Amino acid sequence: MPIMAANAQSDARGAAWLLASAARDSISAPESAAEWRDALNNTYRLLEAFRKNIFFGVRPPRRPRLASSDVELMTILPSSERHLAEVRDALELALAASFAQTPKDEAVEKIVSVLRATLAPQRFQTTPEDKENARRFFNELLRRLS
Amino acid sequence: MRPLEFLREECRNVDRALRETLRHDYGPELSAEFYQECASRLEKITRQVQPGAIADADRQKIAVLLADLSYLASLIVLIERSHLGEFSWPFADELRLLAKRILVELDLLGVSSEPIVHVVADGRGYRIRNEDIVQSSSSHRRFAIVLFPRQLKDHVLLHAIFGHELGHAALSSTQIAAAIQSQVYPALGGKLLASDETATSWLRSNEAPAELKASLADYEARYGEPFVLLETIRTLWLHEFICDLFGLLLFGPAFLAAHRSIIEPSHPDPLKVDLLEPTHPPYGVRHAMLVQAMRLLKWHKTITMDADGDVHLAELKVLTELTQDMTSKWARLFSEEELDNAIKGIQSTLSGLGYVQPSQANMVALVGRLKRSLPPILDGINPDGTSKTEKADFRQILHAGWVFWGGRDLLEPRSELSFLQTNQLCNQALLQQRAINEFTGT
Repeated sequence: MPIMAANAQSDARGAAWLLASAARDSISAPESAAEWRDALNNTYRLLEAFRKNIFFGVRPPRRPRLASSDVELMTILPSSERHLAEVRDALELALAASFAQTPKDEAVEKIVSVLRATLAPQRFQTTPEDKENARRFFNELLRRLS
Repeated sequence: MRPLEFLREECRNVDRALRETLRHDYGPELSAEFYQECASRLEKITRQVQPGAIADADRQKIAVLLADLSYLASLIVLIERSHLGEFSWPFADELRLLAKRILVELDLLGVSSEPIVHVVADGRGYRIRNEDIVQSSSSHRRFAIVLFPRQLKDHVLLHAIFGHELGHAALSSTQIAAAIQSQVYPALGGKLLASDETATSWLRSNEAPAELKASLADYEARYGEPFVLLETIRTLWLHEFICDLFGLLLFGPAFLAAHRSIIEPSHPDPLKVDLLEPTHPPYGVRHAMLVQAMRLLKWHKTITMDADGDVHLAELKVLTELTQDMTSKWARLFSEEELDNAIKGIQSTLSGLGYVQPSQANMVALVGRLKRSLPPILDGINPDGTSKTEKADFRQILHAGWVFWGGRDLLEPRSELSFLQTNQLCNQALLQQRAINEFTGT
């Protein structure tokens, strides 16, 4: 393993942590949400991918072994140990902890609605309850990604 | 040096590296947006490390920002790695247009966002790396990095294999991946690939190749348990099948020709299942599926007619060879109905970007130009003496290129063009066609 691997350059859990952190802070302080616009958009894409079950990568089975991913073979791109499946697990657990009785699709839509209302309050509205649940969701996600 | 000091130093280092890339020559309209996106990401990271924005004790945030910076640095290096002389830039241009339309996404407020497609040549195979769903928090647009094999600089006929790579990129894009998932997964993943039991039964069926049966027995003896085609592997296989179909529907018969030329040589036993690293389905099963799809699409029939003489014979030969299924019935993993549904599903996600065959006259004209060692474009003189220019889709040029190359022995007069020269002429045609398209505003 290269020494800089300790840097976890392309670990998706770090990127997801930053996104969750920006989303939580923006919900708490919507007056500064505009400067987090890109982070909120990226959080939205992550949530959409999660909602639509878009491929989050696979965990290698015990046997047979999986080959290194193609990306890892490239000489000029970051290593591929992205831990995407762990991000998906963290999202699932955070959702269960904050929206226990709500179906996944509906719960994600509620979080997305809160993000929209945070970014463009003139165009979109949300309820205090959804806002609180969304904040709880991102706090939970941060805890699981730390 | 304390962690926060190191982070701030890294910000300055990455900024310096980014500014130093300005001394490099960029391709026309290619790298500017890549540079701007990198600069924008760096600016957002830098803002987060200013005094007051981050505490010395916030080690978690320092660590993830450092990782983000490190990733950004690896992207910046790509600016310096993009040299026009190392890949076919007319092909890259066409690929860029396709990728932007296929990989477009909507943001939180419903505004569409196209990826920034950056092209580099590398020493390895064909790749497209679309930034995945967990992007850097600082990114505004996604990067799709296209890697051409450096040694195949001129080989545009082989570049049709990028159709498969675009499929992989599409599977990581929120818009089109969701559509593929709802419309194509059920079609291909519903029967033999549906469960551990059904998939493993297929591997162990009586019709399976004898070599596979022996490999399965060896595996069981060595590991003390039978081999199972687990869901993890089936998902990877499903993706490979979908990407093969995606490539065929996007690039037409040229895709199958490139697929066979590139992949078949590495598979002396086309039905071998690598039980230790089964990341891909056997080549023979993939080829059988593509041949089946060619028939369902009616692309196994010639465009040209008997009256077109040698060009017709050449096309017939190429199609006969391409659609020859050299494997047993066992290799046909999907029924016609499953495949037909998958094709329809992918076609609906391509929204008009799929391959359309050239007309009979255009195929004859394009191959005719190659017979005269000229770039295959559609040209001519109007009755009033003005030049006639017509749009030919770049994929039709590749299709004609394969008909010429595969059927050259039957063409009159006999051509002495090598494979490289044929590719170079097709590459030049893409360049000329681009000029025609710009001139005619198509």
